Amino acid sequence: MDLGLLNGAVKVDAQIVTGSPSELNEKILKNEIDVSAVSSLFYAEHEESLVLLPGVSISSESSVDSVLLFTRFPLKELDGKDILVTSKGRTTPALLEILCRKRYGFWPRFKARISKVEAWSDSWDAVLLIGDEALEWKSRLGGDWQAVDLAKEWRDWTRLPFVFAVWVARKEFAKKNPEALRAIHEAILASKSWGESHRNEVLLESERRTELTAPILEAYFSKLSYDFGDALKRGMKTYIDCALECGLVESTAELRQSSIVQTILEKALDGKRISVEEGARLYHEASLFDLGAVANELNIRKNPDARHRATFLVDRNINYTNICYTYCKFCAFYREPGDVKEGYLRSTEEIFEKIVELVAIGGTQVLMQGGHNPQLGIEYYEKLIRDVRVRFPQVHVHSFSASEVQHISRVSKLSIKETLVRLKAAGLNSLPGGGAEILVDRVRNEVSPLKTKVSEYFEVHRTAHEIGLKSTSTMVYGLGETIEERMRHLDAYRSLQDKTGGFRAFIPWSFESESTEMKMPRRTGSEYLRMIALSRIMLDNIQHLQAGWVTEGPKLSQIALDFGADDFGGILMEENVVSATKSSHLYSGVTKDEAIRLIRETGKLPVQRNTNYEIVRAYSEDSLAAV
Amino acid sequence: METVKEFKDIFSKVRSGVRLSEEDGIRLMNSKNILELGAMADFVKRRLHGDRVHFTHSINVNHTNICVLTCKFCAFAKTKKDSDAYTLSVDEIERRVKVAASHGVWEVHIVGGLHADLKLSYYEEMLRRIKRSCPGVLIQAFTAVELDFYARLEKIPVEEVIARLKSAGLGGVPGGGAEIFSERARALICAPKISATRWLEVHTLVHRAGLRSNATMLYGHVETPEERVDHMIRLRETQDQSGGFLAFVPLAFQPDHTELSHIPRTTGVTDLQVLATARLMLDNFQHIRQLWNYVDEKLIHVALEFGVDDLGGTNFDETIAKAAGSQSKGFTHGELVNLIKACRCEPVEINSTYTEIRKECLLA
Repeated sequence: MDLGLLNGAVKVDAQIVTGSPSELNEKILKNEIDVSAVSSLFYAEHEESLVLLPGVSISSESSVDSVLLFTRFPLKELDGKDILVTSKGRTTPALLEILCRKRYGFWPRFKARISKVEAWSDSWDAVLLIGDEALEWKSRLGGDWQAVDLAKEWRDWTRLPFVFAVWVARKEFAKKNPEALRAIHEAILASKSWGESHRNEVLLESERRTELTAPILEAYFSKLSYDFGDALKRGMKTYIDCALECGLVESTAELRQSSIVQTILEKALDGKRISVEEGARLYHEASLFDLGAVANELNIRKNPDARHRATFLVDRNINYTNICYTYCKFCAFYREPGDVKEGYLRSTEEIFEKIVELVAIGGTQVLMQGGHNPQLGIEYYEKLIRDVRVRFPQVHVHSFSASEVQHISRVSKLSIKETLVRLKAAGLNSLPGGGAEILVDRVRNEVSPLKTKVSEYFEVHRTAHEIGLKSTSTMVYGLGETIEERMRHLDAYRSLQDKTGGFRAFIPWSFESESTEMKMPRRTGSEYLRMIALSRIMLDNIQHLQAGWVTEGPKLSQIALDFGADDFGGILMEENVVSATKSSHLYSGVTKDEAIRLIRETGKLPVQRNTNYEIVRAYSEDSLAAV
Repeated sequence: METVKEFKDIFSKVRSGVRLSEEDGIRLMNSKNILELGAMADFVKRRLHGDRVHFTHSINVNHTNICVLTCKFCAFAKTKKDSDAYTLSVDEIERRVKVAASHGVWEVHIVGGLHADLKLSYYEEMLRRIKRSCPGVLIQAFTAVELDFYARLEKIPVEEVIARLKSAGLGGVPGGGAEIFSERARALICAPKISATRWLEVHTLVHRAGLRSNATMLYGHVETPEERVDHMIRLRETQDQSGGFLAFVPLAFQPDHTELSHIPRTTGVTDLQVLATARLMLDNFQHIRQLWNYVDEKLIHVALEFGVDDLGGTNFDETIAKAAGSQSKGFTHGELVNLIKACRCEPVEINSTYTEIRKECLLA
């Protein structure tokens, strides 16, 4: 039907490009051509960006002669047999799969894709061919071989014709050049009419171009239809619906959604900032793997070494006191002031003992954190830090959350700045990110009304950065916040980071509610990976992203290293706060050896770092893990 | 954007329904690129099952822990002399199943040690009694290892054992006893057990008798990644011939209290490599099952995006995995449904032949 255009009998003011179906498909996707014939499947998949040209198609009412399944068994007996399939296009293999699965109830086994059959083998069970090749072999094969016409099968089953291809134009082109498109459409229709009234010319030309004889070609052409009436439209819709049900093509609704998501992911890959709304959409709609791939890429851009290594920390969390008067609903660790049975304030000796054990295994960081104990003021903290630093100069004191700092300032009636200046002078290295939970006041007022508000939390960190202290950032999700609130939390950190650049790392983990006042459903493992990936995507200005195994387990924190995290986190020689929930769902005891093994299995080099992200030691394959 | 880059060629085969080669399998199994592995496996899973995740409401009965074998990876087997050795009476088994059925359980999964003194009549009686009091319950019982053992004890062909058990009420055969097919690895961990060839042969006979079965693979012990792929290919080839396998069930080796306790637990990367590769290689297996009692809960969630469409049974009673120190606690029916929903999937209750349950016929 295109002969009229090709030989100039029908004039059109456009460049004509020829190519194989898949070549043309690619060209139209890349906007290199504006109007083309495309397969029904292609049209279904790209419906969003294409305009269907009415009145013309490439179809058949019943048998088509050129879409043939050569088989030694009836179609319904091909269950378990190997089917060789043409590599030219997807529409006919999809048609065959639909017929097998939906009409005959079995899964066809496509053994291999063949581009051209040079010689036939009688050991084959079935072969699907289209076009000239199908016609050629039909005339040559005999004996056991039947040629099942798939368009006829389709017709017998659905009572509908089959649409192989339709003419489309790119939507953008249609919008910008309606006149030109109209002219082209008319030319296509004219060519169709010309072909119908010049059958001999068409036959001669086809004979010239193929190895087939006129009688075969005549029979072939007589089976094809180029209209696009109602029955054909219904035929195409039915085929596309079947393809959707069989998962052979993504639905356009999914595609529409996914194209917005794709745009956001492309934006992230371009290095542009992702907004709160975009982040929430990604969370809800993006596939875990797309998120992971983007996060992974962004991780490597920020931390080029992350491609082949992951860092970890040998640390210990020491809780100097569990006496607290802030009564957060999500906490199972605190004990009220006056609780003589279970409340404690550790002595310096006890704390030193713990640090001795830490140093013995090569540890470099102590994270001291505790409740808001009304008896402890700045002097206590200064002395604690100083004593630790004098006794253990090689250990970094990465301690006291923002809420503790605020507590100290209140008890001792100092400003936040004065408090931090004095802590730093005593030897404080950096501030942990604790006390963040969810940095949205609506949530904080619900779950921890007596704790720092968002602005107070950030005041501490901003001031810390101003006086030269770095800090980390955290999130505990699953406290009843919305996804949008999680994104706002990330955005809040991001904004402060723009100003001060003092956050070194971010660590998210899920809320464990057992033994606390809040009964919340436990968040899933796939959610954790999603949060890791999104943290990397959203926090475009924070360098490190840490996995954490206490609530997620070592298997997941290992996997997080492929989803955007560059750091395995601390081995946490001791952890009491989350563990106070005594939940059987928590994990215990990841040793240094275990951390090294887990990182190695991801194919990366385990590297021990310190609080300042300086390298302490790399553990290459043959080095012993034991200290 | 393209998520699958390194494995573009394999993905293209997968999309067109072309079978992957052994070479492909080895590449996948050795790859640390779990992101791409997952993306491809998830694609296949969605194409086959959409969002559906299958599970059964079932009870496990281990009728005896006395076993003539001493497989190195097992923490369950006892000898007759051991103080905690036991054999359940048929009465007790019937009682347990009845209790379970009254709670809506519709499948009983029976496996046990190879007991040299129990006759085939014991097993036939067991099945008959369960069928009589709980006709709607599907009985999935006796691994290929056990079936072969009964045949040898009774000195009859295994086809006859299968036929007799089937008429007594056997509804399906579980996938256990496969361990790893490689002769080299098998010799190291369970030398006296039946060979891979025999295991596959028994399953072929089971399928010929009109019963369906599952197939397992124990990984994370002495086997190599190549041996895992070989195991899958041998299953695939057998399935091509007999077509009766329903689910492939990879089992992560649990080292505690076994003779191989020096072997560390599998990591998440290994678990996901195995699951994803299985989904991609076993193009003729409808289902990939991840038993919840072999991995921790959070990994199951992730497994559902790595090709898994089946979480096994709720398991009222489970002894074998617990003995070897698996770290998971149990799930009730409601909890399993909630877990599946929390992963944004659709819970579908089935029995092990993947047929719909007729709840009203559970009890006689």
